[in-house]
Amino acid sequence: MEPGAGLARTPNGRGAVSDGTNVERELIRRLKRGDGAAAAGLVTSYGEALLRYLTAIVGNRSDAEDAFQETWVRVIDRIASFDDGLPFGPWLFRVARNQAFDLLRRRRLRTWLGGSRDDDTPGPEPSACDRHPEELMARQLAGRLLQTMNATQRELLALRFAAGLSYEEIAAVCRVPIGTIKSRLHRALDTLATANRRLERRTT
Amino acid sequence: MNDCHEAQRELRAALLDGRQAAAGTIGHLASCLACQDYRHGLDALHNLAATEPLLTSEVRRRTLARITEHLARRRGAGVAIAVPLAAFSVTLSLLLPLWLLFHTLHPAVGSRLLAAAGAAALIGLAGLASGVWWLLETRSNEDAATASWR
Repeated sequence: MEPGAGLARTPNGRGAVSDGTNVERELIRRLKRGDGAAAAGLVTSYGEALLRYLTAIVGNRSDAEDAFQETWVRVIDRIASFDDGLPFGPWLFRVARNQAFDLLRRRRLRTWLGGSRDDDTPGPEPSACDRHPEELMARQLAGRLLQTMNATQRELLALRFAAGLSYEEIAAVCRVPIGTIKSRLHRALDTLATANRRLERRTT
Repeated sequence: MNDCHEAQRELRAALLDGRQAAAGTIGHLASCLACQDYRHGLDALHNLAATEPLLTSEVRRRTLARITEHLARRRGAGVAIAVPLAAFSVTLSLLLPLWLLFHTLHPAVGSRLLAAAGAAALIGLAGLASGVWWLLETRSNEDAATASWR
């Protein structure tokens, strides 16, 4: 795993073209004119990183896919107000972040009102692609650990390790200075390591 | 204890930067069970970036279908608003001057028919004059533009 790659690199097939290339600018211009094919290009570029981020935040794949679709719908609604001079990635992740946190708020409300307690769902759900049970169990463990952390820490780890964003991009998404991002990431990793050891001791 | 603190900080930094931990830290790990345990605790993060892609062709297809549907709905809503609005604007921009001219001319000429014809003729003339002015203006701009090429 190589975090810090930003979206321009594709560790494990994540991310792709980005960082304000001419191709991306053209896609955004076309999307502003209502060209759906341009959205396909952007989904290809950012989809994998975005979906990994959302899955890590909301904790299961089904909700993450809903949030993913809603993110793109919101992007279409708001693309007219997007400033072409700014990088698209952080803006997109901010839209996704709002969708994810809306979903978590709705879920908490449902739980509070006595509905299903699906916020206890541990980690990503298996899918047709989860052919390797070990990988699935490992990912479920990672998801369960993330769910034990607070929202800020979970989000930072998701942006860095699931989406593969650079410090600068994370700072732009969270609107926080880079130094703060680094120190919060260190604290989040410390919490995660402690939680993982505690979990392992409990299971052994 | 201080060594452990330093080693764990280095383990986190290495993980964040996607690099190997420093040789000193690796040496410390060989003899420190607490730090080995700590490193093992960080391993869970590797699983977040599992190799298998999440954006399957099915997810992509569903997302693009949702986008297309949303764009179509937006276009439909745009037409539903834009057409009546355009019709209203055109009607207003033609009828209001006509009505004003008619009520200005009618007391002077005394006949409703003549006032209506006069108002229509004046609006027609005004439209013609603006058309001619626009053509002349466009032409002079084009001349100025082509002159600057020479």
